[in-house]
Amino acid sequence: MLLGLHMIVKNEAENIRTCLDSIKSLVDEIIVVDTGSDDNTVSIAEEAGAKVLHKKWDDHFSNARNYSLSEANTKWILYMDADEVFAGSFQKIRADLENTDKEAFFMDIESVTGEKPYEKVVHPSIRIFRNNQDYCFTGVIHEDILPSILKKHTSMSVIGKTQGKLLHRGYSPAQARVEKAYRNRRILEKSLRECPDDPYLQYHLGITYEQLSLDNQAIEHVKQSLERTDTNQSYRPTLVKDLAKLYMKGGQYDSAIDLLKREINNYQDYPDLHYYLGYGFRQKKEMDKAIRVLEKATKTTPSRPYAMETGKGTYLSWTLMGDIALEWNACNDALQFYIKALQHCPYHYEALYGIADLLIASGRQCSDIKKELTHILTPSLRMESPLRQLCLQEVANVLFATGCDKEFLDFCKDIDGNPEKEIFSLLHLNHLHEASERLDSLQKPVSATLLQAIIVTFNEHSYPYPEKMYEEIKNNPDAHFYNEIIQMLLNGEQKNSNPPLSFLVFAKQFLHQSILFQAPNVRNKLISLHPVFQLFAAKTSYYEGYVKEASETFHSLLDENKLDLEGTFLLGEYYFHQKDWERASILFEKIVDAKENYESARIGASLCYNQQSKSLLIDSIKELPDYPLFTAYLKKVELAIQLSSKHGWQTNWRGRQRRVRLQNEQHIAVHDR
Amino acid sequence: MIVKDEEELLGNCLMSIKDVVSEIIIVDTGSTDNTTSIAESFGASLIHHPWQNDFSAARNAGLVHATGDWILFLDADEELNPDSVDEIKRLSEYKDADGFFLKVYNHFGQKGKEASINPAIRMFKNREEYRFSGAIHEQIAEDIQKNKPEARFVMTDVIIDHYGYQEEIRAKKNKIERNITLLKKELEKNPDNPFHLYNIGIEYMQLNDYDKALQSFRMSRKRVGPKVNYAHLLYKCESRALGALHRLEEAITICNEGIKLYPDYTDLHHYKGTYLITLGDSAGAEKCFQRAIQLQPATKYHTESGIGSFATYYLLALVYESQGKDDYAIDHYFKSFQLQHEKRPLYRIFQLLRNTDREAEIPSLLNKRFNMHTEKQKENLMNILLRSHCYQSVSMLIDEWLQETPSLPLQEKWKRIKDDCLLLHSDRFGKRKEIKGLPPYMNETERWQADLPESIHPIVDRDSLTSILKIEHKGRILYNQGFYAAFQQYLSKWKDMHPQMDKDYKAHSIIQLVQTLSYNAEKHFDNVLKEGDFDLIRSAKTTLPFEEGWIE
Repeated sequence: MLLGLHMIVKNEAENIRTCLDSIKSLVDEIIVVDTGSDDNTVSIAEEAGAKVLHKKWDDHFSNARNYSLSEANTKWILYMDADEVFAGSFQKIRADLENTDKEAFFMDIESVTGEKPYEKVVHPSIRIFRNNQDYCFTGVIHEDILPSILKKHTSMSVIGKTQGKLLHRGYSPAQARVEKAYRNRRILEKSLRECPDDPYLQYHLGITYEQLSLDNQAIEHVKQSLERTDTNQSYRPTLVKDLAKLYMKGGQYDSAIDLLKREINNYQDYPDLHYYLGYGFRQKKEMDKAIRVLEKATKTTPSRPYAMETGKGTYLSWTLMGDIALEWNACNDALQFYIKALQHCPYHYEALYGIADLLIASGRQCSDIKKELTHILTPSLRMESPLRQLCLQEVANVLFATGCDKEFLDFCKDIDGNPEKEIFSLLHLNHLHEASERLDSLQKPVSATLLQAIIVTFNEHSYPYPEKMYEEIKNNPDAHFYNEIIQMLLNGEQKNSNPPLSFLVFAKQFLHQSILFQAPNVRNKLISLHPVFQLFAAKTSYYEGYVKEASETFHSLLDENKLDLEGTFLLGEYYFHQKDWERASILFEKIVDAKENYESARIGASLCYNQQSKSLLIDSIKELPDYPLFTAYLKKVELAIQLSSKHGWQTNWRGRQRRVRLQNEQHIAVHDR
Repeated sequence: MIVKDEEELLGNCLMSIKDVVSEIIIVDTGSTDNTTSIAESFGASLIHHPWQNDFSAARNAGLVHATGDWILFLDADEELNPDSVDEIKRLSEYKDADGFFLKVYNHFGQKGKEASINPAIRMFKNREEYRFSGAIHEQIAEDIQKNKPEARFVMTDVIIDHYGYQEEIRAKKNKIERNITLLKKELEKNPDNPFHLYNIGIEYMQLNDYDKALQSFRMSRKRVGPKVNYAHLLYKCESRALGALHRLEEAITICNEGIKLYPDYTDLHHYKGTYLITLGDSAGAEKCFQRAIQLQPATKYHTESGIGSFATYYLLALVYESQGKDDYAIDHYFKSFQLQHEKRPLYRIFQLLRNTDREAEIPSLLNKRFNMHTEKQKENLMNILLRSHCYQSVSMLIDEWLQETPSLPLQEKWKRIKDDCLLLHSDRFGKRKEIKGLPPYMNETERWQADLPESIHPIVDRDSLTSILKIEHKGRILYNQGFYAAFQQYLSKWKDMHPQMDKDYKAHSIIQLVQTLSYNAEKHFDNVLKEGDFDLIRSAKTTLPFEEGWIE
């Protein structure tokens, strides 16, 4: 017989049927090692024609896997896990196996990593090997067949690659994931005590710590493992990537950047490393470096099997480049980048959002955004297909996120809409009656944010609260807080003159909603709850795009000496946008006096001075045209402005916030100079 | 002086020097207007010397009659700057000098201060052996050096204003256009004549028409062998045209081809280096400049001043600076300065040391490498240091100088400067109990919004350009002490005074204001760069207008 499937299982009743159904016709025999299931895994396997062996679980994966090898009656062994499904051509694989001098074959394993269809990682793994008594698995965990093959054949050239693919359904319930991680930790710690110098074990222990949210230990172990792993080890590039991701997760961008810059020399054709380096640079506001590295990610073709996360070398890189270009106000470049991203993944939300954002930046209306997005996606929308549905869904999400509420509601008529988002949009449009009706007909429980938004908007417009709202509050663990807020908004005064902190934290969310939904009465009542709310409300207004009213509050807080550094910076930034360089520079300097390494304030201050130079030089050139030095200086100053502006230092309003701010600024008379 | 028909300009020229010199000798090469009578009205001795197509011969004809210790020679369209009268009188104190570099300001505008500065030996010891040589670009330096290899030429700040420059440029442009017309006619007859093609290329270069120049050079080069006497130049010219068109890779290829044929042609190495700098290949540029310096200024080939010498040293120093090899950079800036006596390299040295927190080394560096004996020498260096914001080193130097027990007024003056330096240098966190001439000490938290008191408005002294530097210092003290609102008010008061200034003075003032603002920006960039290696900020910093000592 040619090919046999070998598996080890425990309590896989939910998965094993699909798994076996996908592969049955490729293999000539199926041998399953059960390590102690107490569900009906065994009977399902037997139904599918498997021979089932029983083995007591001894915390050792290789032992379990090797257990079935001696029972094999086939020339070749294929091994799988129960949560994997085979995809590809059986015929092709069998034909390959019949005529080959290879000893083993890689298969791509495609794992789902997120909810979106494009969130997955592909990595190659040796899954088919010759049935040979010298070949057996090693390692208590993350068992590996390769070492035993390489003992006989020193070159990797005996390993081929098959067309088939295994789809790994990574999503198991959180509870099961944690249990698995605890189990792995136990096994790994035990075997590390036996062979303390094994970097492979240590790497996996690090990853296990990460799954248990012990990030510091995770970094420590993965780092030590990296130091001891030989550069040409096949798992090493993935190790580098994992360490970089761990660093970034903890905000240690400098360490991640150092690591990646160093290691990219070893793995220049690994797009994921370029992507993460670019991502790190962007976080550090080094936009120019980010763009260059991301571009490299898009131009890199891997020449050997790497663990690849989807899109890192394509649409994710293009989208980040688009985001940076847009921050630089280079709208045309941004558009090109986003379109390239969509060519690789037409339903990539961030790219669609980026395009909508840049349309807003160019002063376009909501109707245009809807038109442009559907136009760009025409090829994908032409036929009724799952792809079409995915695209429409994301366009709708983008319309919602950019505050195109009318268009969003229109759009939802054609797709499976999102009932909560639709109610939010109705609230934004002040269609309280319809919102109320929709809410009452909602089947599912309502999210806290929606509940807050309802209370805020209905109160602001003195509209009777919907029935459903009372029901929801009744069942809510924070019911008393909700009632207190409702009472307070009704009476305009609070019961308790010294409210507890937990209540204030709760009320803060309402304050945010009152700003988002432009409910000034509610907002003012909430602000009166506590003095710190004034600054919080001003900052939130500012970030939500209501810069003018925010700046007025900042100003009066500054006069009372109650403005913190962040607020001072925002006020400085406001004056900066008003081209009041003098006032802005004074505020930025004040910040730097208090905090020497306040980078954005420093760049802001330098820009103020350079802008002052610029306008002085422009005036002087008009007045004294025969001094070429002025023109030379002007060029230098302008270039310095251009370069330093590209270092991200400003607030980056996007989508809905950007629109609000643009409208808000149109009402501001330009500062009289 | 040698003159011919200069009645319009001669009067101003002689007026500017009549109180400085003890005799005026004018060689007239055949004037037909009032030139000679104007000369006589200033008491000049007139020598008639028929024009022989030889500038040196004419100049030397005058030298024969000189009786003074020193010779100052000028052209009729030049004037001694009134601010320099005192200094030029003092120059005779230098007993061991053989010649002086004066600064010729070639003014572009009608009477503007916008000028290119060209240091030239215009004053030298009156000795029989020292005579001019060269028919067109007559030179005295060569002759002096031949006779006295250890001759000392001293750099001075005496300014000669050269106002005819604009006219000369215009005349030159007319000449180019005339030449192009002539050459085109020739080329119609002989379209393949490589010499005409080469010459017309040169004319196009002068007109900044690089595309046409490039075309002509290429056609010419295809039609000549490498042995033809101008063939080497075609490589340089072609690469320069390509360089001007930003086609740098091609420019480098041409340099390489040229270097294969003429390996010892300094200029090709130098220019290749400049293109490599622009391409960001600093290691490559470094090698080219090193080779150019090794080869020295070309003798067998056409060359321009500074190549293989001060200009190459300067660029090599820039390369070293960009590579972070600071000590090499300083050495090479210094060599460039020694060879040319232009102050730009000094500004770079000081700025570099200040930026790398090595300002404390400046005094010992200066003591080792500079003559700082006379008050004038000290003051010159001190002004460069002040303009480079090296306040700390100035106060250190003044401490040293005070130990030499100078005259009382000088002591007073230096102490005053030192006091200023302390305020200028102490950073924003330096808490000073008493600040002379500043608003009464205020609560720390209010400093930044305190208003500018009447007592410290900027004051303009129209007669002295250095008063602008004083204005800047007062503003900088406000800023350094954290009076940010007052600083901005001060700047606007400063700007408010511009309408009352005359044009040139105003131009100086504007440039200083820009430099004041740029320095503030630069300080912020410096601090940001302490936090990380941010390319954009680094580039922005190096792009900022750089203090080059335009005002003296």
